[in-house]
Amino acid sequence: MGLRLKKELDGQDIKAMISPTPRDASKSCGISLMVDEGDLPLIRQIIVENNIEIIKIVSLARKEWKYRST
Amino acid sequence: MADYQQMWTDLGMDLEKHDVLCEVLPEAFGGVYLTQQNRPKGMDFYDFVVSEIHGVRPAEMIQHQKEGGKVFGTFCVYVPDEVVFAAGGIAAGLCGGSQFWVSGGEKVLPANTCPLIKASVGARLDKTCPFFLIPDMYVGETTCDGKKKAWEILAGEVPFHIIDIPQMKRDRDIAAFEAEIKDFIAVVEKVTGNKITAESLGEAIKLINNKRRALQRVYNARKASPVPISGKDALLVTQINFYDDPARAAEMANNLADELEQRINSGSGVFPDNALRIMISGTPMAIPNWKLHHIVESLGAAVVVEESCTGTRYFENLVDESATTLDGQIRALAERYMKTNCACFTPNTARIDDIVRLADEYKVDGIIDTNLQFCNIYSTESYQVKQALTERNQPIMHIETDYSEQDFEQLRTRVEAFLEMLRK
Repeated sequence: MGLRLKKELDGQDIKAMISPTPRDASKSCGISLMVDEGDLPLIRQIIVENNIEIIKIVSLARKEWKYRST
Repeated sequence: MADYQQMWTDLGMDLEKHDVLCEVLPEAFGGVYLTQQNRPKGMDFYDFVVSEIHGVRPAEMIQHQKEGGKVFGTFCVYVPDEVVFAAGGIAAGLCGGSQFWVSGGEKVLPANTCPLIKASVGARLDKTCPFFLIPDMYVGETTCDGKKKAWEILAGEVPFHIIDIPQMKRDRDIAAFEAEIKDFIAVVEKVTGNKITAESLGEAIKLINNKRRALQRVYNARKASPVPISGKDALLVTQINFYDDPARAAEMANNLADELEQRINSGSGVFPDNALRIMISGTPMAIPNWKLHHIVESLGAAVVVEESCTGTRYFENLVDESATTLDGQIRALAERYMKTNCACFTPNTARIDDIVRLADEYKVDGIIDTNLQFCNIYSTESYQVKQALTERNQPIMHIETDYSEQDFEQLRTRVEAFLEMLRK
């Protein structure tokens, strides 16, 4: 589903990054898409129109990444 | 996003401990990968695989087992995957690249063992990686003393077969490896219950060769300037190829190569034209070890080629597809695999020839020869590598490191000084 949504977003030139789900968003270990908040209304529409199943949308503060090993 | 909790429970994983890894991965991947600009769209597939790293492929392997198939876990590019696939099995590279698993390995191994071995043993004993819990059999090899002894520990956990890798490359050594492949065929036939025929082995040789050809295309694109893909992304592609389905791996790498070739035609790249071009040679970087690439590329230089088992050694030579008998195919496999130049061989001057050739082909400005901490053979060979390249006026530095963050800033300072020297 994540890949399907990514493809739809690419088709409409909406920026999205595939990422392991950040812990702040969910205690899971799976795919999530990181998008700009400003694009959310359109993204919600695409989700509904294409009947794409998502778990939830979570708002996270933009952060400075720093290197860390796993 | 699928829920893999039940699958992990059924595998007997330590979910509480595994959750610590799940917590760290988004940060680690984000810091290294999501900070990059203008990444090829073809990387989406690989990002997806990382985002479901312990779910999507393990689920396929378990399904294969439910349908009666067998899974073989491997640790080295000398293990001929063709044999496993010819018998209807799945071969998956298991080498551990995470610091998270190291402490588990240190419970039973000497501290002065290389992090790849410690992480691999730790991942199994701590039950924190599905890939290590799924295989019906592990296939080890004799490329270093640390691994040989680690196999004896892991053999207490999983059925184990060891392929004896010759230490020299005389005709009789190639013949010895041919005999090892025959033994391996017998073992795989017994485990899978399937007979390997000239037809099935011929198909498997083509399957794995196609994956190699696709990776060759991706790497060939890195010869261009500006380089159309980062070293970090190329490394991730190779790392995932170790355990992905080989036909899909070839398809995805070919899709990516198409995009990279379009980028070259339009002069589009991920680093400026004048960015320094770096080769990294030495020991493998198993997923998720992205440390050195990240240091180099965050300093503005591009890693354009890896002379390593997670680089050119993985795909450079193809198996001759013309043989029509099992004996002929086994000979072709032995000849191909024995062309790979690992520091476990003596003498190993062909590896130095490879580095010189690759430096020329990829137009590199400098070479970072690296080895994992306590890897005696690559560490010792670095002396010969440095001598040969210095004679050719090719700038080179040597780095020994592990998976931890402890030496990150120190390494960054050293690499920065090396790059500064190259810029003068």
